[in-house]
Amino acid sequence: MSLSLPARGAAAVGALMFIFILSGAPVAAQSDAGVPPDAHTEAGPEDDEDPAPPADGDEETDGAGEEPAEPSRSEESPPSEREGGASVSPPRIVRSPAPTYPTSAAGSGLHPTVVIEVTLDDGGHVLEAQVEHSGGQRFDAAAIEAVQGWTFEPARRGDTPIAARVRVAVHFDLPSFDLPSPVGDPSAGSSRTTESAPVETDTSDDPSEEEPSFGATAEVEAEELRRQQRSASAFTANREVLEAAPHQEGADLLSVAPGFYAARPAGAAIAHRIMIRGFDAKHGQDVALSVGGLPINLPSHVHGQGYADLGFLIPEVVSQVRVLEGVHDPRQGDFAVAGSAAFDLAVERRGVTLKTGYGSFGTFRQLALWAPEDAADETFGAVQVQRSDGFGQNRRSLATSAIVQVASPRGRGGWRFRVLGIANVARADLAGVLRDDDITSGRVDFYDVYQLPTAVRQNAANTRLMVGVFGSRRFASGANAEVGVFAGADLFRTQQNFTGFIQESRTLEDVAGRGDLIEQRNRTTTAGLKASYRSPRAAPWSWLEARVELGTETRLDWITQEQNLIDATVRNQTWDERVDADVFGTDIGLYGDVELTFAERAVLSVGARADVLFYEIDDRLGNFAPDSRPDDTFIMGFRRSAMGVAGGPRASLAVEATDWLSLLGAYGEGFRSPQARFLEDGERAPFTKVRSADVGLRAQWDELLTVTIGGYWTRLGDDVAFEPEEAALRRIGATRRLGAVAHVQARPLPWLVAAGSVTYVDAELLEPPPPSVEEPNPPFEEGQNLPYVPPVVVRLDVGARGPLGELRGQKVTGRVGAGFSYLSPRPLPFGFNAAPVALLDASAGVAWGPVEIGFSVFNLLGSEYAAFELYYVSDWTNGGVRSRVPARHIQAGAPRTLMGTVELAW
Amino acid sequence: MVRWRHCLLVVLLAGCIDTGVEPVSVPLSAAGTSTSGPILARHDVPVTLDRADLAFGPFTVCAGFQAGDNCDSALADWTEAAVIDTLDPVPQRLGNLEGIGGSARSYMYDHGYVSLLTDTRRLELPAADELGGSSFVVEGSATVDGVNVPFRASSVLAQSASVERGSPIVRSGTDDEFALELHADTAPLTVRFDPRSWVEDIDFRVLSQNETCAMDQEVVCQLQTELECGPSGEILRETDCSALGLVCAPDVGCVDRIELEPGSQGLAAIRNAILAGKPPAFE
Repeated sequence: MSLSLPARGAAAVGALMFIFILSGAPVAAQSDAGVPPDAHTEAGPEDDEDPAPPADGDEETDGAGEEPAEPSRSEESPPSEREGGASVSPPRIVRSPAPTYPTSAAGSGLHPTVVIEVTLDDGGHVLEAQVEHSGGQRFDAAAIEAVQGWTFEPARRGDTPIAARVRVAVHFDLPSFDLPSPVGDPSAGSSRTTESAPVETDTSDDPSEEEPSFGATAEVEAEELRRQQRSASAFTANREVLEAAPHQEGADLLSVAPGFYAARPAGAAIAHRIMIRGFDAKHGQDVALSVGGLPINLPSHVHGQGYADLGFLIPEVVSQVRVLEGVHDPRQGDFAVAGSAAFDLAVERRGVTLKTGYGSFGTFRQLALWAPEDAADETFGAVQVQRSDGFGQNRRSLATSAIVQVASPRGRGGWRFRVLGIANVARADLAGVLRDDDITSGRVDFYDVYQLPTAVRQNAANTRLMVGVFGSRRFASGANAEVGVFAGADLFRTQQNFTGFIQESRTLEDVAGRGDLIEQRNRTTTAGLKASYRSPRAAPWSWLEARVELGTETRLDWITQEQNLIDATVRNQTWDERVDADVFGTDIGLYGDVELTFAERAVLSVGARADVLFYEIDDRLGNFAPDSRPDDTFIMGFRRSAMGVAGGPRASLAVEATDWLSLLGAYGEGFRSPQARFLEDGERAPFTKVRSADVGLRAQWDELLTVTIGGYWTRLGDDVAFEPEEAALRRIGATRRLGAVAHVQARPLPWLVAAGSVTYVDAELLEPPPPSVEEPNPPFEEGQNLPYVPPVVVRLDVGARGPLGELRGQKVTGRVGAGFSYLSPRPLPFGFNAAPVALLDASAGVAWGPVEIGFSVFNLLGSEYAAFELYYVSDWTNGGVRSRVPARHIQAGAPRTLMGTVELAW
Repeated sequence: MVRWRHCLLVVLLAGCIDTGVEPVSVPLSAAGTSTSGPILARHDVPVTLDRADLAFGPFTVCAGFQAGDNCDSALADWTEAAVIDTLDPVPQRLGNLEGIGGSARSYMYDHGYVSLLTDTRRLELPAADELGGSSFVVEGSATVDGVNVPFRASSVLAQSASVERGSPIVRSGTDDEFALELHADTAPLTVRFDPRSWVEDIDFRVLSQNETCAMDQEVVCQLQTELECGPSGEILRETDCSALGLVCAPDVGCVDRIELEPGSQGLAAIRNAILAGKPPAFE
C-alpha cells in the first residue's frame, strides 16, 4: 500500500510507504474486545496488483494544511484483508512532518534509513515508537521525534477503528542545497521516488524551516519481515562496525564476526583462508558465502571443495555482513557446515567517489564508484584496480574487479527487481612455503622464496563473471515472494609447490625429481535459480501466529579440472598427470519453514531442508594402474554417477524473557557436497552430514549495548584437512566442536562504536583413518585437537567519527579506528602447534568537504608471523640429503604495511 | 577430548590444545664389536681383522613394520653420515636423531652415499670421501693352508638409480625385530655393527692359488711363488713372494696384500653381509 501526501511547502520531500500489523498486540487486544485481537494483517508498501500512482492529494484532512491523499487501489486487489468476515483496512498517514537532520551529523555524509515500529491507538494517535532498524543513535532519535509528531487515520475492521502497529522507515537525505529542488519534482531529493507519491511537509510545523531542507521517506523493508536473528550465533555487522577498523580487502570484513578469521596466506589470486569457530574452512569448504544473493562457493573445485574467492569484493560497497554460525536456517544449503555469511551490497553515500591509495611495497589501489543520486542505495557501479610488488620476493600481483548493481523501484504488480553483475580478473606470483629450518639456518629469508625455478614459477590466476537477477514481491495480504536466477563462469589456475622435490611420475617410467610444481586448473560454469514464498500471517488463536515459508535453491555446475606436475625449467612441460576430469553436478534444494509466534514472546521456527544431489563424473585418468600398463586390457577412464538426498531438520527458538533479554536456541542438520571425483559409482550418500546446536542469550539496550553469549556444538560426519603433497583435501573422519562465544557491540557515545568477541572451541578428531601399511604414521590421532583450528579467537573493532570544525566554510570531520585479531596457538598435524597470531590494524582520516585524506597501518606492531603453518614432509635441498620427517613450513604473513589514501567524493 | 584441567589458566590466552606427540631429539651413537679371537670364515679359515671402517648414515626410523616406500613420512632421522670403526666397541657419538614422537618399528639407512630423486648420480657424503670414495674399508689377514694372506676390501654401497631411486639402500623388513619408542625421555640410541659377520662367508681359499703356467696366462701363483708365464705357457720367471715379505695374489703376483676386486666372491660376500646379512643391534 502506498500513501501520498500533497505538497505543503518546499521543505521536505519523500515517498512514504508502510506496512501495518493489526495488532494482536496488547493494544489491540485490550481495546477492541469485539474484534479478534489476533487478526494480524501485513500489507505491502503498495498494492501488489496495482501500486498507487503519485497522487496530488486532493482530499482535505484535518491536518493543519497537510493534505494526505488516499492511496489509489484497484478494485480487484484491495489493500485490506478480511478477518472473520470484517474487512480490515490499514491505518493511513495523515500528516508527516519531515525529520530534522541531526546537526551533530552534519557533514558526515550519512543519509540512513531508520525503521520505526509505531503503535497506534484506535484514534490513530502514536502511543509508542520503537526503533526496529537503527540508523545510528542520532538519526534514531530524530526519526522517533518526527514520527511521534505524525498523525494517522486509524486502522479499521469494517467501520470500527482499531489499534494497530505500523512499521515505517524514515529516510534522511543529505541537505538539499546541493540537490535539485524537490518542489514540483516528485523524484527529486529522495531516492524513493517512484514507489509512491512524494510528501511535502508543512514547513509551519517544521522546526528546520529555515534550515537546508531534508528529505523524509518511509518505506517498508519487506525482506526484514523474515526473522534474521534466529539464534545466538546470528550476527549482523552493519556499515558502522565494518568501517570502524581498516580492511584491505572485502573478505577481511568477515573478521568482524565472532570466531571468524580470514587471511590470504598463499598470496593474491588465491582465495582467502577462512576460519570460523572451530573450523578451518580452508577456502570456503565449510562456510557458505554469498554476495548480493549470488552464491560464491564452487562445488567440487580442484583446489578445495567449496572454493570461494572473495577477491573481487570491494569493501566500500558492502553495506552489511550477515553471519549465521551453525546450521539452523532452512535457507542454508551446501557448504553451510560451520555457518554462512552473506554480504549485502549498497552504497549509502550517493554520487561519485574516486579513491586512490598508495602504500608500502608498491601497493596501489584505485577505486571508482558511482552511486546515482536519484537511485536506491542498492544501485551503484564500482571498479577497483589493485597492484602490488608484494612484501617479499615473488609476490607481485595485479587484480581488477567490477561490481554493478541496479535496483528498480517497486513497480507494477508489487515487484521489485535487482540486477547484479560481478567480474574480476587477478594474477599473482606466489612465494609459497618455506621450511622453518631453512629460515633458521639462514638459507632463505622469512619473506623470500626458494631460488629454484620450481619455486619462483609459483603463481595463480583467476577470472570470474557472475550475474544475477533477483525479484521480490510484496502482497497486500502480507505474503511476500522472492525469485532469482543467476549464472557464472569461473577459471582458476595455480602453480604451487609445497613439497619441493619428492614426487615421482606415475605416468613416465623412471622420471622423478623434476620439481613438485603442481598445476591445477578448474573451470566452472554455473546456472541456478532460487525462489521462495512466505505466507501471510495466520492467527488461529489469540496467542499464536504462524507463517509458512517454502523455497527452493537449485544450481547446475559444469566443471572441468586438471592437475599435473610440471617442470618449470623446460617451459612447464608436463611430467605427470594426476587429475583430468569433467564433473556435472546438480543440487536441487527444497525447504520449508514454519514460524510460530506464541503470545508475542516466543518465536519457534521449525523447518526442514532436503537437497537432491546428482553427479556425473568423467574421470579420464580413472583406473590408472602403471604396473599393469604393459598388459593393458582396458582403456583408461572411469565414468560414473552418484545421487543422493541430504536432508535434515532446522529449528530455532527465541524467547523474549524481558524487553531487553532474549533466550535463544537452535538446532539443525546440514551438509556439504563432496569432491565428486572421490565418489564411487552409485554412491547414495554423496555428502557430508553436519549436526549443529546453539544456545545462548542476547541482551540489547537499544543501540547502546548488545551482548550475546552462547554455546555451540557441531558434529561432522566426515571432515577433511589440507594435504600439501597433492595441494588438495583429504578425509580425516568424524569431528566434533564444542565451544562458546561472547560478543559485545556498543555505541557508548554518538561518535563511538565498538564491537568485540571472544570465541573458544574444543575441536576434536573422533575417527581419523587408522594407521595402514601405506601410512603407518598418520598425521592425525583419535582424540587430538583438529589441526589448524585456533581454540581461541579474539576480535576487537573500535571506531570513532565526528565533526572537528569548519574550515573555509567547509565542515571538517575526522575518524580513527582500530581492529585487533588474536589467534591462539593452533594444533598442527603430528602434535605440533603453530605460534599465536596477534595483529593490530589502525587508521585515521580527515575529511574536508569532498576531500578525505586517510592513512592506514596494517600489522601495526610489525609482527613477523606465519599466516599459515603446516607440518609435512618436503625436500627443498635440491640435491642434498633429504629428511623424511615432517617439518614445519610457513607462509609468511604481511609485515607492517602503510597505506595512504586520497578520496574525492561529489 | 576436553582437557579442562589444562584450560583453567590458559583458556583465554592459549586455549586448550591436545599437545599430542612432541618433538624428540635422541642422541645417536654407533659402535662396533670387539673381535678378541680369530674369525672363522668359510672352510674354517681363520681371519683376523685389522680395520673395519664403515660409512654409516643417513639413518631414518619409521612407524611401519616395513620401511622403504611406506616410510615417506618418517618418525625421526639423522641426515648426516660418519665413519665408524666397527672394531671399537666403544660408542662413537654421531649426533641426534631428530623427529617426532611415536613407536618406530622399522629403519633404513645408507652408507655414505644417497640416491637422489633429482639426479641420477648418487650423492657422496664426506664420510665416504673420508674412506677414499668407499662405503667401507676392511683390512685383515686370513691364514690359508698355513700361509698368512693379508687382504683389503672396499666398495661403494649405494642404491642403484634404476632400482629404487631416491630410497635408502638398507631397509629393515617385517622379519627384523625393531622397536623404539620415541619420546622426550628416550634413552640414547646406539647402533652396533658386528664386522665378524662380514667376512664369515668369504672363501679365502681362492686367494691361495697353486697353479702353473698355461697358455694365455701372464702371472699365476704357485702357493707363495709368483710365476711369470710366456705366451706358450712356459715359465719365464719365478719369484718367492714370502721371501720378500709379500703375498702372492692370484693373477697378480707378489703384493703387499690382496685387494678383493669387484666381482670377486670375497667382495660380494662382504657387500651382502653389510647390506642384507646380520642387521645391526640397536641398544
